[in-house]
Amino acid sequence: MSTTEPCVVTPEFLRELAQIVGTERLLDSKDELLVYECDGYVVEKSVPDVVVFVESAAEVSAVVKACVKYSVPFVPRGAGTSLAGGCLPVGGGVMISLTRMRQIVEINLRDRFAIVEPGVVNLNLSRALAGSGFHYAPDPSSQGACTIGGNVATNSGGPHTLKYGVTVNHVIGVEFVNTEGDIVRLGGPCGRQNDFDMTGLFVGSEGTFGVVTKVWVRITRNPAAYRTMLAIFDSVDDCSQAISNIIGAGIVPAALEMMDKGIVGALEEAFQFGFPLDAEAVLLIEVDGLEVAVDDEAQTITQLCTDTGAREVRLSQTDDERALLWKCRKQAFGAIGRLSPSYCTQDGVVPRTQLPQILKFIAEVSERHDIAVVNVFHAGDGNLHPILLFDERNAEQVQRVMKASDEILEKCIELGGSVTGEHGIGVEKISFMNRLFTETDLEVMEDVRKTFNPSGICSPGKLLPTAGACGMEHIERSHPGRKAAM
Amino acid sequence: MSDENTPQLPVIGQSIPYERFLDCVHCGLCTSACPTYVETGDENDSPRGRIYLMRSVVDGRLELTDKVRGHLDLCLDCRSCETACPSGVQYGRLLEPFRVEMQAESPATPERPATPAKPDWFHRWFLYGLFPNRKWMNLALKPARWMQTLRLDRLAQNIGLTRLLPERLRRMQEQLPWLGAAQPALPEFLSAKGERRARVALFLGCVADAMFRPVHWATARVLQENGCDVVIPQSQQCCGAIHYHSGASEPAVELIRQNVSAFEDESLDAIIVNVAGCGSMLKDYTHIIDELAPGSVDTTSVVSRFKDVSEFLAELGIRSPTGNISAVAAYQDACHLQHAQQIKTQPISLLQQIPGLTVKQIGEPELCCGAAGSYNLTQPEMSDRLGQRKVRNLLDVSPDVIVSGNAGCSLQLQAQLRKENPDRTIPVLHPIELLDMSYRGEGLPS
Amino acid sequence: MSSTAAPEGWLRPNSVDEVVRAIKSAAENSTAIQLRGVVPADVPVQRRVTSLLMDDYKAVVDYPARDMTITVQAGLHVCELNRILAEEGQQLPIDCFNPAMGIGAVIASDESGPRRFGYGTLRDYVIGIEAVDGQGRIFHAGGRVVKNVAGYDLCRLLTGSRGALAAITQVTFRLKPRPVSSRLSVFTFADANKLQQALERLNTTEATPVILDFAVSEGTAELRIGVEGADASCDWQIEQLTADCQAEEVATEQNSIAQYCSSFGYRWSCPAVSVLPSQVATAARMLLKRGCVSVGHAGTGILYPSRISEVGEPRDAAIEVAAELGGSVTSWDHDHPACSNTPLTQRLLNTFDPHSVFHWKPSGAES
Ligand SMILES: Cc1cc2nc3c(=O)[nH]c(=O)nc-3n(C[C@H](O)[C@H](O)[C@H](O)COP(=O)(O)OP(=O)(O)OC[C@H]3O[C@@H](n4cnc5c(N)ncnc54)[C@H](O)[C@@H]3O)c2cc1C
Ligand code: SF4
Ligand code: SF4
Repeated sequence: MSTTEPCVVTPEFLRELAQIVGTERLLDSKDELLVYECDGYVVEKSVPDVVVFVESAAEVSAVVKACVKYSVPFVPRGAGTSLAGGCLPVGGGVMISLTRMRQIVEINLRDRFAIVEPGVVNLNLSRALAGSGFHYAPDPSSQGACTIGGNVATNSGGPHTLKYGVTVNHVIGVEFVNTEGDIVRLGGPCGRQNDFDMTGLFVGSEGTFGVVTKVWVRITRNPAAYRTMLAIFDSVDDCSQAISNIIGAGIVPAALEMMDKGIVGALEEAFQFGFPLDAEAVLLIEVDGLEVAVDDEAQTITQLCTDTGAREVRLSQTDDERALLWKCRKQAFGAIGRLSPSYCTQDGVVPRTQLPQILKFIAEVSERHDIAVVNVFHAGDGNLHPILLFDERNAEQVQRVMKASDEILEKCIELGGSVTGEHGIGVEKISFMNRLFTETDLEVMEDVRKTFNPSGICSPGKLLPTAGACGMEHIERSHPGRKAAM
Repeated sequence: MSDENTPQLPVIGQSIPYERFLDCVHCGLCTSACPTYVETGDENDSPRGRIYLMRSVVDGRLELTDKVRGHLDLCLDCRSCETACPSGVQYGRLLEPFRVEMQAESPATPERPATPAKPDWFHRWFLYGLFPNRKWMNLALKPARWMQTLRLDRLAQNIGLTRLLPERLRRMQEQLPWLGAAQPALPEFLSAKGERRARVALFLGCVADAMFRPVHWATARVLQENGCDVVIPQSQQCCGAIHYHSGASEPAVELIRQNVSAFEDESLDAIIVNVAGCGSMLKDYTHIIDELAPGSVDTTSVVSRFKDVSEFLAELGIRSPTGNISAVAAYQDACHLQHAQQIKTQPISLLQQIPGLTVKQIGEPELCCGAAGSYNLTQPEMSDRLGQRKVRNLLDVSPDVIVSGNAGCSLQLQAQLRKENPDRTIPVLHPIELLDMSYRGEGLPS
Repeated sequence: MSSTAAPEGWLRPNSVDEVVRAIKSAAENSTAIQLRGVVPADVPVQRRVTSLLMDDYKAVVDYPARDMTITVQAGLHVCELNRILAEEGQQLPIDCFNPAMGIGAVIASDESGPRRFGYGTLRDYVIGIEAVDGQGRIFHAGGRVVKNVAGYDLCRLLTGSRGALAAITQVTFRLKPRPVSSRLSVFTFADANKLQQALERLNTTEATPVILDFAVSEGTAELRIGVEGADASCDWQIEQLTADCQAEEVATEQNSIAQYCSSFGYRWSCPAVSVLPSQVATAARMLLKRGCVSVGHAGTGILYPSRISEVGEPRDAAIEVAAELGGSVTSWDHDHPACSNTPLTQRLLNTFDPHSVFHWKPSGAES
């Protein structure tokens, strides 16, 4: 859509859509569209003109063909937990909701793959696999709600992706409806493919290539044993040094997560786990694998932590204790409500050895802008999630938060990292793209987008600063609300 | 949205402290736990969406249109979203007062002419009049009991006679369980067996006392068996949930007042509730008084002693039941236990002590069965969808008996099981009934 | 600086700019560029082809060992890369059939071998890339951190693209620790049926092998299973695997995995059959019936047939078996009918190489 006018949704177009999905699965009145104006990212808002709930690839295909016929842009939406505004219908248009395509089509344990529709909730796949000895490895903290389609679009990570890899390492095929409305299949369950790795390219394309209608995912054998530890540190420096030492020692834990004093206090209040309140930082470490091997690894890690100044290393003794520890970690953002009325999270990445530097820098920024910051993040990957605390009703403070966030991400780039490890660029971080990439890089990426999506009709205004969107100016920019993450 | 032409928006939800809306960070983690969203996939039918709708109405961004009402009405108030929400959003404390105001105002909207704030005939007669009154309820059930004894109900259903009944009455008829022979009312006092360990009161409720008196008897016997003196204050009333939830604040406050005075007795260690729905209402008395009539009733001492029977027994530690019941039991989590009272493990741990009994957890345990108080009467379609979904999950574990700690759920499950297969005879029991059977050395009813 | 003298039709660039120049001049003169070392090499020649030999462009750009990443120029030989990594106790766990080949060519060919079962393939290790497309544009994707979702994942697009889209000039890898110890066991079975039964049991073994290879010939079948880790865990796993396999014979060697992987020696002129792992034994039996023995990766469903008798024709057998089982044939032959070419493939070619500079094309693609 190269026009700058907002797109026009005509009654004929609506009638055509209604013929495809029926009036029951179509929303077009203002009062029902409002909830679709944003996803997990609430800073920017834009109301779609119509929402359709599709139930099959054929319906998606028909809807897209109608959109093409009437030149109306469309954007796919899964559970709407994106933290980067991936579901924002920039300039309005059709929102294609995949929440009713939620069948697990096939589970093949012997060949270790499953075929799912895009609306299947991540955790539901693992639930369906419970007891089989297999699981689906990518486990974003939002796994209880987010969809596999959304995971594919954003290439989601999670705590256990340190050892097991992110979504793209577990997706072996994708069926999607392209921007002409044709159903296309990429990859599949068989070992080698003859074509370019377009599945790999597709994963992480943030909905700008078309609408995913089916996904082939790899399923992973459960580890025979695991050990979960909590290492307690009196200084953040020591803690980040310990992370660096563990990785440096050639151990790849299943998960390696850090939480600082601020977040630990809030978690203790929420879950009464028994965290020491005076510790400056704690590391949540999990190793998994063979029963014969995990004890040795746990011991090595304990030694490394103690050598780096850990006050104490606790080994969780029961499954319940482990479960509670993980619950604390995964629900950490919820507990923020106890610290502050509003917060915002960043998703920067640095090389793991730069963790001490970036954490020091974050502390400095926090002081300089007088904004409290707490940290809970995927330390093993160097994927930070600094949480900036503020009150959204204080406009001046909001400005400082924006400034501080920007400085932190800028520093991540300077240290050789990236501005997003797993949440995606969406609309939120578009302005960083030309700081990460050269003009030529972006030009090539734009060409790739045009290869899949020549007219820009699908998910306009996302991912690339150049992606022309109809009516960019129609996004409502409000002050940041509280934002959960990670 | 609010340009000058927008008519004056009704003032709704202003009494709700705005911070409660701000608690919601719009993360969406609650969505997959919400039964209505899981069914429709529509964000408007999700907790996050409903909070957004309510907040937008409060903010004046949205009118309270019929569609908005529809989405809020479709909510079961099961509070599964509260369990799922990491931010500690008190969804019930948003929705319930909002609904109360919605009922009270019934304001005019473009699509809907002004309506007087009067409940319709159905609410008036059945929900306010008949249900909450234990005596009337019993009388009203008499004919049904005769009909059932004579098998006339089946006949009427089979020849389609019941279809002549108004929709909601017919659903009530469908929901009626096998009532069995009338049992005598519980006396005022039943004394502990063996060493005396506690003195407790038993809460009877309205519908429950009429339809589930055997459960009350079983509860009393199990308590006695475990060394509890059981007091049954005769001045106790309906918990008031039906009134409160349908926006009738005054009668609700009055019932609360009467119950607080009925259970005042300081010597009671606990007030035992065996209907999860009543239990969560009773435990919420303090909030509700704060909301409806601040300072009018002092509820604190009573509220802290309301205990679900499984919660109480698990805490007390039970005498091992000895009677063998070799069966597979599917445990159905009642929303009012698992979400509203956060009671999940206690009933299971009690059941696991019964020799021979295998307790199985079912798929999607967090989802409501669609009973939700009078929901199965007011939202029949969604109620049936959820009911059938629950039945499928239950049947997946091939149970010999289904166990549920809430009267409403039991009614719904029985009705839905009959709907699924009229010839199916899987008993639906309260966990206490199974425990009682084991203590008494009885087997499952055939 | 200018490039080292090279045999006619060869170019040994030692800077990215030289690559750019070569590509631009090829575009102007309607000649073609071929990346040396990328398989297949034997594409029919209709026009003048310049081979880009990256051997002089092989510096280690950055090796922050404690981050477990390395950035290298594309000409660095795989064996040299592994030597450098070994010094830090690290590795890039990719098997390639000619370790004296530049890493850029290995990526473009997406080489893999026995260890792909335990370690995955190059797509799981390339986290950042620099390349020059057919218009001479130098572009980057990914970065130098192990987790990064900014921008399109062109790293994966170029991995296995066989040089048809761009000339890879620099790469960043994520790395793995080198295992302390390893074992390779050969389990012998009477026939493919017995092998199949063992594979079924192995699907849920507690052991975590990195190699699960097989060989089926007339009258005998083998599983070659490799495990890694501390000695104790290797021994435990072999014990476990022995119990799971119920083989007639077991022979175990220590620390011979590397040797095994490098000697695997695929015959690149041979097609590979890709089927589901559960179909491997069946496929092997079918190949045998068509006069072909086969070896390959049972864990990932890849078979390499070769001829045992006059009747056996591996290529035809592979195509038939793949078709019958719903699998596919990967062939390095340029004109092989199994090479797929979708409209998207064509569009990507037009995007990256509008002047058709790069010599290799998927079959059916228009130049
Ligand atoms: C509390 C919280 C914790 C989180 N933790 C993590 C974490 O640990 N790791 C992580 O990586 N992310 C995390 N996220 C971010 C988010 O959950 C992920 O990005 C997730 O993958 C989004 O899935 P979704 O179904 O909600 O997709 P949506 O938000 O609906 O959509 C996200 C993007 O995907 C596109 N999309 C959705 N479905 C399709 C489809 N079928 N076809 C094509 N495009 C589609 C949309 O257009 C949009 O661009 C978290 C979010 C929250 C709120
Ligand atoms: S109610 Fe809770 S879980 Fe749901 S969107 Fe709001 S904060 Fe998130
Ligand atoms: S109370 Fe139940 S039905 Fe209502 S929004 Fe919450 S989860 Fe959904």
